[in-house]
Parts: sequence; structure tokens; C-alpha cells
Amino acid sequence: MSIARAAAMPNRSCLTALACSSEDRSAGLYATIMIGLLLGTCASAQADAIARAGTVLWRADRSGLHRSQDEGLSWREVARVEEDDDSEDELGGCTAVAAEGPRVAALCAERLLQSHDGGSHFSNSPAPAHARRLSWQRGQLRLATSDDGVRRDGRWATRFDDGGAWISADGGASWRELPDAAAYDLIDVIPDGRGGAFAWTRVGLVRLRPEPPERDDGAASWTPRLDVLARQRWMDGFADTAIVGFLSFPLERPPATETWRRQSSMSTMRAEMRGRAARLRIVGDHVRRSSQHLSPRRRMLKQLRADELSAQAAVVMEAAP
Amino acid sequence: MKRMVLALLLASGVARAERPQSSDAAEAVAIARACVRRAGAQPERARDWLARVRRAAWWPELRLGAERDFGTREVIDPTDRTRYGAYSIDELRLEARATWRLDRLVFDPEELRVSRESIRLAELRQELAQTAVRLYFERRRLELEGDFAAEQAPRDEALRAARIAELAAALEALCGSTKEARARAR
Repeated sequence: MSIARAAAMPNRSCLTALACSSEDRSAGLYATIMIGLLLGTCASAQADAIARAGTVLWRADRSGLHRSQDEGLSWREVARVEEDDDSEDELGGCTAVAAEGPRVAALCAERLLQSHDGGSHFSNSPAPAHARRLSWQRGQLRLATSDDGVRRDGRWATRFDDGGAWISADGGASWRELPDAAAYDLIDVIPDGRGGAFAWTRVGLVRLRPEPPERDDGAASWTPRLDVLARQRWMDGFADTAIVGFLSFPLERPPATETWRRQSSMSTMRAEMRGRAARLRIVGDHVRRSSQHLSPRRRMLKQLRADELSAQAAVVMEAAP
Repeated sequence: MKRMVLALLLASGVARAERPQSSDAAEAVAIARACVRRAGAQPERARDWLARVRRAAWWPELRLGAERDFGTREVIDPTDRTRYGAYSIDELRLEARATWRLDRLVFDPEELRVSRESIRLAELRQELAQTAVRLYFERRRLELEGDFAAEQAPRDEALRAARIAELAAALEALCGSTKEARARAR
């Protein structure tokens, strides 16, 4: 298998790998080590697309097509693309996937795979030239030659670019930001069908959710207290039962300062952690970019540092309350 | 020209777990998640606390009481103190009282304590996850430097190997076995 491949979204470690393996071919041991090491980095989890049909997730990447039935915790390979090439600049593997109910379609190795039974059986035909994106619309497969970053799933839609990710609950008429996206290098973002989104990132699959609306908990103090009293009495062969209910209303509405304090401390902490994660990601990107003209050893160490910063950004975001 | 071989594994009945393809970042994050789970500091826990506080409001505060009177009661005319009769008393009273504080369905003061705890838990989670990531990458850096070092003195090589083993042990102590986390990152 060749290491030559440029992913659709930035996969700078792969591009760097190509540069160093060709530059240092004469350097014997170093070059051998580099290629060996870079195979690991280059083959990193950089999928081109993900898709969802019910509880099943599909992932298309350079090695093939994969399916997950546990929200991305584990993946099984459904179609494999083995590359044997001489050129170094061609996109390979599976580059697009779309799913709708039991229908799945994927663009893999210039072939169009289609299944109508949830992926149990696939038909295989040549892919139309320049096809870049796939989508199902009421049972009809649509092909597009460009990717606008918008993914639709019923009334839900997601949109993403370098600046962040957004979700719409009304088919794209209005959008809400997915603020945690700032912490990740996004590769693909699709609606999860429950108000959030699945995002495929440099660190794997993550869930993104919009900021919950603020609640006015101060109104709680007007809510009454309900008392129900049941009493039974036996005396000299006689018995009487009484059930009494009381509703008591507070006359004074106490200030909701404590509630506001709770809300603001949580949201402030979350915003702080999100800001920190975004800074780490940006620094990581900068380190990754700045490593391209360095010696192989320093480049690898810089790439590792960039990976560390990406991982730190992800764990800081995931740690937020 | 690139040649590609497309193998449909399910169609040919040979579906299998995929080959290892994890990146360092994905693997480190998976290990950090395992650390957080092992410490029981996952965010779901704080959400569960909050949900329990809200659910608790549906349950009433229940008070049960029983009272039994024994004795003798006499009937006396208050004007001339004539005693008309006497009888014994055996009276049992049972009382059950249920109180629903409906305001707690909307906001429970206990939520303040839960949010303080969830902030503490988030801090712990962050510290733990970042430590795991730092240990993981420190080890990877040493491995990488070892691969690049041309000829190392045996002493340096041994020290490097010992430090790698130390970091791996620290990571394992913190996060448990990293095998499962690595598998998840693939």
C-alpha cells in the first residue's frame, strides 16, 4: 500500500510524509524509519465522510467503507480499498457516503457502491465522472460535483467550515451554532437526529450539541406546595376516614440570585474551557503548518507536538461541565 | 496510474474488524477518556445527579403517624356532679401525610450543590485527561527520538527505555489497560 494520498480535508501529516520520504530517500536508515513511522501517522483516522441511517453510522475513508452500530465506539469494515499505485497525487479510497433508511451509497475507488438492504449486499458500478458528494432524497440518489459542507437529514441540517459548525432544525431556514466545534479539526459533520451532530474529527467521532437555552428558574418560587393528609380513626367499633388536601402558595417571590449564580458559573466555566480548547487547536494547527520545512526529525517531533495539542484541545472540551 | 482493488467484504461474507489506523491524537484522546471513565469522573455522572434531583421532586415527603388512647371515660353532670356512667376507651388513630413540593420540579436548591460538584468534577476530569495526554505524548516523543538516534551509548539507551517503561506504567496505573482504548481509536 502506498502512503501517497491527500485527503479531501487537510491531512497535513500525510502531505508532509510525502515530502520527507522523497527528499530523504538517499539518507538510508532515516528515510526507512521515516516511511515506517509516517505510515502510522499518514494512515491516521482522517475519514472523508460520515453518514447516518437510524442508529447505524457509516464512515468512508482512504481504506474503505466502515459501519458502526454503537455510535462510533467500534467500526467494522464493510468494503476495503487496496491501493497499488505509482502516482502520488490522486485521491483514493472511499471519498463519499450517504445513507437513508436501508439505502447506502458510497464512492469508492472510482466505483459507485449501492445497497438497498442496510449494507448486507452492494451493487458495484462505475462512478460518474467528477462525482464528489452523494445524498439520498426520498429514495433517489443524488450526486454532486462540489461539497458545500451542508448535510441534510429530514428536517435537520448541519453546515460546517473552518470557522465552525451550525445546526438547523427547520431544513436550513435558521441556524444555531455548535460552539464546541471550535475545539476540533472538523472533517465531516452530520445531524444526529436528536438536536445535535456527529462530527468526524482528527481525534475521532465526537458529539456536538448547541448551547441549551437559559431557563428562568426564578419563576419556580410561585409554584405551590401540595399536602395530602389521610386520617383513619377507630373507636369502639366505629371508624372514620378523612382525606384532606392543602395547597399553599408563597406570598413573596424570593430573588433568584442563587439560580443565576449557578447558571453563570457553569456557562462561564464552559466558555473558558471552550476558549482554551480553541486556542490549543489553533496553536496545534500553527505548529503543524510550521513543521513543513524542517529536518525530518524535527518535523516528526513537531507533528507529534501538533497531535498533542489537538488531543489536549479535545480533552479540555470533553471535560467541560 | 493508480490501480485499486475494491473488496466488498460483506458481499463476499468475510467482514472483519478493520486494520489498525489510529492517529496519535485519536489514541491519546481514547486513553484520556478511559482514564476519566476509570476515575468515575465522566460528565454523564453530573448530568445523572441533576436528573435525580429533578426526579426526586416527584416523590412526596411522607409522614406516618399512629396514636392509641387507652383509658376510662366518665359521664358526670356538671351541675350536681351526678355520675351517669363510665366506659373504657380504646381509640386508634392512623395518619398518613404526603407533601409534594411542586416548586422543586422547576428548581431544587439542591441543584446548586450539584452544580458545584459538577464544576469540581469537570476540573478533575480536565486535570486527569490532560495528564494522560501528556504522559502518552512524552512516551511517544521518547520512542520517536530513540528511532532517530543513530548510535546511542548503552547507558543512554537503557535510561530512555526505563523512562518509556515508567511512563507506560504511569499511564496504565492512571487509565487501566490501554489496549481497549487503542482499539476504540481505530
